[in-house]
Amino acid sequence: MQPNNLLLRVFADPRSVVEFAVQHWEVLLAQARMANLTARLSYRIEDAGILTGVPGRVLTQFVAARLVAESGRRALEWEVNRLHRALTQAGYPMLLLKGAAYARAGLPMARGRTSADIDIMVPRDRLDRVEKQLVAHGWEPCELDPYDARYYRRWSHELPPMRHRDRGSVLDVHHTILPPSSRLRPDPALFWRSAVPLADGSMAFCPTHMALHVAVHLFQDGEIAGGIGDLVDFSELCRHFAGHPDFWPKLVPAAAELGLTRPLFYALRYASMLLGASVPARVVAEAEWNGKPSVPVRAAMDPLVCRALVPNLPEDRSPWWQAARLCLYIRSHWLRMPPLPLALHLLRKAWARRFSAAPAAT
Amino acid sequence: MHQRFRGPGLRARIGPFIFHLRSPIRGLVADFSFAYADFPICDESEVSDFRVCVSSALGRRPWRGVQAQFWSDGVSPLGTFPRQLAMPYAEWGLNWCIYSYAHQFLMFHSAVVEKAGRAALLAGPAGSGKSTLCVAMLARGWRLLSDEFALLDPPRCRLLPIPRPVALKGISIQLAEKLLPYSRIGRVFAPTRKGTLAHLRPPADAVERQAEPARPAWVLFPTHAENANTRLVPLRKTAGFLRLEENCFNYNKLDRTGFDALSQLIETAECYELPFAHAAAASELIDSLAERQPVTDLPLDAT
Amino acid sequence: MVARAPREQDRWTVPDANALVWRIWDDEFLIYNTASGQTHHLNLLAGEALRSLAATAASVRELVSRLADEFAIAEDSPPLQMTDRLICELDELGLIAPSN
Repeated sequence: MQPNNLLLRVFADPRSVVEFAVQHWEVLLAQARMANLTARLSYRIEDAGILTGVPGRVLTQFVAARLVAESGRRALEWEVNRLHRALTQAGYPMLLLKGAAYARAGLPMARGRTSADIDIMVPRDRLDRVEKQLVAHGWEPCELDPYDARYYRRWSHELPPMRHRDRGSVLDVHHTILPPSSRLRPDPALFWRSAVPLADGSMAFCPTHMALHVAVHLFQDGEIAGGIGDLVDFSELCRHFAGHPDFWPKLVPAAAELGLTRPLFYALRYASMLLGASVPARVVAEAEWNGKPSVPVRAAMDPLVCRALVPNLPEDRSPWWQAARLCLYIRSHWLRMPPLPLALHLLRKAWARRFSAAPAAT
Repeated sequence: MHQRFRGPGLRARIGPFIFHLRSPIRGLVADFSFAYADFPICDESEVSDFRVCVSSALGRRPWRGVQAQFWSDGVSPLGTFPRQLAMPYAEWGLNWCIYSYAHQFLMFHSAVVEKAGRAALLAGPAGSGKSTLCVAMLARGWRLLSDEFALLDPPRCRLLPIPRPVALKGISIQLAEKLLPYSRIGRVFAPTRKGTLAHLRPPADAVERQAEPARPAWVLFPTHAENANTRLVPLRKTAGFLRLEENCFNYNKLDRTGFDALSQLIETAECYELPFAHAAAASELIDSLAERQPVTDLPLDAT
Repeated sequence: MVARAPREQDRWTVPDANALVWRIWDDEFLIYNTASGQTHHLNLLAGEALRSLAATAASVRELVSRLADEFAIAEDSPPLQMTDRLICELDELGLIAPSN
């Protein structure tokens, strides 16, 4: 079931742009802009050695997108620099997550990638002191209404977001990768045990855990819709680490150890289906054996996920798109919280949204 | 133009950009075709920079009248708006496209006018009077480069024209009719309770020369007030830099390139505050700046 | 505010002098830090202090002495009395760091 979407097609096979006419470029660029993947797309094409053949105005758009991404990366690296001063150098161990980790580890997939926030992980028993240390260095907890603040402290796996007083950057401090109330409870000690030190003294997940984290973030913790960037992350991590002797053999066993075989199954399935990621047959078989959902669930997930993830422009979307998004939104909360608090939480959120202001014109 | 707009789409070369525009809304097509009559239409051999569609939309509150929506590359940044206001919203939408994506330029919230190859930036937020002042400068024979965005090409420190229709608000409409009697002004809209809005078709000459950049020579910060004492107040370079940076859309995104380009601009240009009560008097002061300094013989391409 | 005021024995320096881009107009400094992406506007005293630390590391006391020489003023004159505060601010902005 390879959907007919140009952006996915080019990520799967960059050489397909060689035959593009003007109208194909226009659709591709529009899809990339909508998914915020323009810069990453440009690197995918460059790595395939065909950037020089791309039309001039497309190159201009690529250059502009790369400028923004590079600026974001520089800001990210500076935040990590400042977090060092505040935490690592003061004796508080810190694990970098996602974009910050990819950038500091110098992974090729960090090029062109934009992140809104910085994510780090600290041991749960140090959380309060880390928060105090951050406040001493200029970070302030974001203003939340009392309900949301209680939600975070009770149900979540992270502190409420913190914003830096002078720089305005936003920091998410996690103590594990899924909410404590979630149906899956990976033991954070396992992440710390295998963590890899980076050149500057900070730490990151080992390659298998990096990939599992993305899988979990996309298929267990998130609403999936609009998450094509995360699926690209997963696919690129797999491509980059495929050459590591430990990566593929350890991926499913690590997932089993952490109880994360289901999200891994989905990540491998959809990365392969939508992005043409090449996964060794043995790994596919292991993932299915360990993490495959029941037939009805799988039958439901395929159309839901494809509708939600495939970056079609509004005029090309299926009429069921909104319904698919709603189903997956409910699913994401179902996975995070037990039923009664979930119902109350969703009700409250829907109520608040109804009475919020409509978007204003310029 | 009408048919293409409503059908496969119109490709118009507007400043350094090619916009691919579509809309089934008759009123918008008429207004747009009037305001952009002189702009060259491109064929389909070049990829566009922005893909725009203004379509009717299903409003959540049908008693508010028929609504429309502005789409650009899969995003609808302005929400829904009354369909009869499609033209002003489309103009705001085109602005949004430019400052959201065109980071190959350092972009300022500024009008730009030019005489003898030297450009004056009239920088400031909405309400500072830059469009009104712009009209007064056109009446003095200055070329319109832009009424909304200054587009600086960083490597060569040149301002690129984007001579789109000038947005006139309230009494500026009457002022434009008076100062530019041969100009064409479009329909008057009332988009907000605050007042009226109309679009002045850019002079044909400005559009013809839209591929001709200009060297920045003066940076002016106009502020309009009823009882202001109209005068030029020289600014120190660092003050000029910081003030212009406040009016820059994407300084933070261009890192060192942005710093170097803005520094170079300030190095070569004179900076002034320009409080003013009447646009005509203010424009006379700006004209006198140009007369005071003889044009040097530097060709446009010299650094 | 940073966690603590500068200690007497701390020596301060610019971690990477090449990361700073300088523009000086009329005794006012504009400095772009390529590491942080931030642009800073410094007055003459602060600008010269930073220049001095970029050239060679110094403690607060040493810096006061250098600036007193530079501007031909007494070490205890009012502008120099705020030097430790200046060091704090430059540190917070990420322009300088302890060299030890």
